[in-house]
Amino acid sequence: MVKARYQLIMPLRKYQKFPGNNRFWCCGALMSSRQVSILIFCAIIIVVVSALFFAFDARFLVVNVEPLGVGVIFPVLGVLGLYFSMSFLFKTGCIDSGILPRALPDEIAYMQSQGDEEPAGSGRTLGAPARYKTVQHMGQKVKLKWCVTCNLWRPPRASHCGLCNNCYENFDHHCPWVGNCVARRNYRYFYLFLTTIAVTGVYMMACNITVIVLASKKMGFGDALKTYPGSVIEFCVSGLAVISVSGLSCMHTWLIARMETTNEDIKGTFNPRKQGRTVHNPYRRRNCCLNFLFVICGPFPPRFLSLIVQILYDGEAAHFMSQEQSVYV
Amino acid sequence: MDRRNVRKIFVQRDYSRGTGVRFSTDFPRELTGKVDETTYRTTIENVNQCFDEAEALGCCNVLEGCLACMTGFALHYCFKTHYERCVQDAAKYIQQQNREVYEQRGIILGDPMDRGLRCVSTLYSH
Repeated sequence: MVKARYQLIMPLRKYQKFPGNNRFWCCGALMSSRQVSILIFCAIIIVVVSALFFAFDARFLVVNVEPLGVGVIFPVLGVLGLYFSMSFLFKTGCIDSGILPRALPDEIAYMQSQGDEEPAGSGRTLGAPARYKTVQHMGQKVKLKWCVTCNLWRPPRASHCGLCNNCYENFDHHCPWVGNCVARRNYRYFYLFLTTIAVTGVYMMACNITVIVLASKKMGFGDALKTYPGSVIEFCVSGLAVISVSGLSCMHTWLIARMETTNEDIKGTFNPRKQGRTVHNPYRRRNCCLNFLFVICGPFPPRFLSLIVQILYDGEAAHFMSQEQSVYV
Repeated sequence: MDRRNVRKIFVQRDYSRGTGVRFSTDFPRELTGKVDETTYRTTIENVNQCFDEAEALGCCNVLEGCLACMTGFALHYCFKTHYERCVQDAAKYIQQQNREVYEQRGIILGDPMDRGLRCVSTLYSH
């Protein structure tokens, strides 16, 4: 048997060597956590309920609402609700939510050569980076924690997600319903998704009630329910969605007004009773309106990971540098 | 630059003014004698200003955000965001500074986006 003399080197894309616990689509353009089944379930529920709405309620309301022609507004609002829900769900669940790329070996070696900022205690080798270092941050002293997985000093408000195995900027929480962590880059989409689902759910329930009431005038309540079972199913599903999502939407509205993340709220980072000293939230703006404006319409930070780039497989990942590679002769 | 004589330092983030992107303007002792301290500080400060502009809550940025929100953020599939444009400006400025000022002194400043905006990598010939 003749053995191949040359090994075929297949170019890989960087996302195929990504160390985090993530799933990628479209050659690394889209990403989420490993568990996406609940995200797909949510998307299917939204589409199915919307389909039932257009098939039963929208058709009934277009024909039966007086004056004629005004009923067109119902399917138009339904289309808008479906479009915004799916758009915000996609943007929440399928993008890089603010991953901090892991430090490269040269950076790790430099950080280790800097020595301890604070004495680490027994059991640690001399010269190894300290677990904490104190920095001045907006008039307060803040402790930055060293992430042993990502080999970097976590910026203020950043946190490491154990499920996704990445550090995220402005980490809020890991949401299994959207199959992704909610952090700096997708928090606004997450909040808008919750609000849109709550509003669209209430709208659909109102339409269901209108359909049943109008149909009952013609044929009686029992017959109306039998003739329009789609409205009944929609009402139940929308009701469950509204009950579960409204509470979460209100909680995040309150968090945005206070300019805190869920993580900070749970840990009591700015709670004087838990911290035992005078602390204030330095991220709060002059008023709540500015907080909302910043969160929803504020800057759109880009993703740091360049995962679509092709690398040649050489046994370990090659890292793409813009200028440094051209330095060596 | 000969690879054997190249050393790297990493200019860290300065969090004193907030979580916004800002790099420390402290002059690294490894660059003493290679480049003027004022020149170096001016370069880093100008890079910081690019990112300050990217993260500012100005009228144009808010208007862009509102418009994007009204389209379900589909606008971002067609146009670059203000932040991305500022990041490109910062990268172009660093390249220009490398070409005009630093390369002749045996120093190369790296693009901070390569390091996830954690630090500015600086290569210098030892």
